[in-house]
Amino acid sequence: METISYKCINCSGPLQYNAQKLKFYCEYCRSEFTEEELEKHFGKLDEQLETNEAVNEEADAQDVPEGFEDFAANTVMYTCESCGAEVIADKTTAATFCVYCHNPVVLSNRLTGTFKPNRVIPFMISEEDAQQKFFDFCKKKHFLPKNFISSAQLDMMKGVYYPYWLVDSLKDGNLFATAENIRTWTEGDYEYTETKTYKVKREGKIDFKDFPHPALEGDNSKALKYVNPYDDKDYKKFTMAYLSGFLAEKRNTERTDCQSDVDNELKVYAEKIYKSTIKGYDNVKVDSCNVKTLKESWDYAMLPVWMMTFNYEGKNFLYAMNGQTGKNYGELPVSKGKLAAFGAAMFIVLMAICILGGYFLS
Amino acid sequence: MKKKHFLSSAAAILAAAAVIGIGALSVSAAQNVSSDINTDAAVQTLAFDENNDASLDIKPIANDNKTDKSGKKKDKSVSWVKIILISFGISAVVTGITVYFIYNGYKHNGKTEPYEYTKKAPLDLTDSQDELVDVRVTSVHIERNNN
Repeated sequence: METISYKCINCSGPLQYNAQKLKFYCEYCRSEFTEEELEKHFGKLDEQLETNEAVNEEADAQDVPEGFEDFAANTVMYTCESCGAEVIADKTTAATFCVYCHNPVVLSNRLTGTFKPNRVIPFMISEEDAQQKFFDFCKKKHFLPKNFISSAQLDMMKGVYYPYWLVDSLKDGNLFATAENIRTWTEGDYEYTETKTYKVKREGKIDFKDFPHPALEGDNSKALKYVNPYDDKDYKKFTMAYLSGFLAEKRNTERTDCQSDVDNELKVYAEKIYKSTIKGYDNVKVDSCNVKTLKESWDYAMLPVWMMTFNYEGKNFLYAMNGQTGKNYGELPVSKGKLAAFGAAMFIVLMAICILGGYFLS
Repeated sequence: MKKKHFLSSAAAILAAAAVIGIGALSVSAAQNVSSDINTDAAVQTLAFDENNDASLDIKPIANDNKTDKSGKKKDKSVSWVKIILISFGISAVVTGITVYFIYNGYKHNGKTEPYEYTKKAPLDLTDSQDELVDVRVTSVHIERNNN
């Protein structure tokens, strides 16, 4: 497995993209380099991505011992360039750290050919800022378990580039609805209600731009959906150097796998958009919405997410933060003891207030 | 600051529940008072005999309520049971709803719109029709109290 490590020009330490400085940064000697400076020294970055086809990783299947077929099908071994250790990664990992020397490693063969992303948004929020945002997020929650916010917990937060499909789709469609206006008035001893019923039609073209759909199926897919939206202004042409210092995942779904999901989601949005043009009525009920695709193009991008999983009382919880905007998504554990104590105290106080009120009134 | 916000929210919930509870109890208490009046009402008449000696002749107003002391005690205990039951019910409902919303709030954080369709999906409207198909007028007679 071919790997790339982006090293500091001065001290050969590992390089990581720093969002605040918009440069590649060496933690050891604190040198900073722009993309142009790295290209000047190393030559064109990611040249092999342009020339290589996607690598078939099933070539060594005949070497797998009996009983390990499933393991071999889902993992691959690579050699760390820094320390020479042989490290195992699963099939979707595109960038990781060597478990021995902690050197950042990009598995370049994972991102060649049709798997090469077109765009990337680099991490705009540093690890310290992400931890602080998570800490601020948890401070508002009074029923978290006692030792939940600990430095050990925060150290488990990892920056991961996740693969997304970005869909541009021009849709043509229509919406039919029934709308009502209701008016009431009183004359003498009678109350009158007038109901006017309208048949409403809206027709037009909707041009969806950069509709995101996670390209990695798994337990994280809901989190990957709801950390959106990302801001368009920070998109950059993809180079593997941006992945250095972070984890990255390669996609495991193709366009054909996601097409029906994307069509359904876009239809829901189309209905919302058409319905938003129906104004001035008391009630609106959609009868039908029909949409067809005129033109469509799919892009593949790597987007940043700060991810943390934790275990509480045998259950796994997931927390995700948008690595560009800081938007949170996740489920938090509730300390049942604290919640029960609060409920009991509230119940007792309310009972006392109501009984006292009843005593003084009766 | 956050603690103050939490405490003020909790205080607001408790105050609202107390107002509801006291309102329910006052309705219940008003019913008890009116029944007490009916129970206690009686007519005192002075009867004069031939020798102009007065004797107090108390005749209770004919009604269905009990007027003796044991009846009054029984009504008071029934009233306390009512108060406690109503208090229990209101406290349990308010506490249950509050705990449910707190627990649910921890499960779904950040589930907001993932696609800014108002910005990224412009609509080019080519046809727009609004056709009036029906007008219906209904009337309801308003009952007025002429007392």
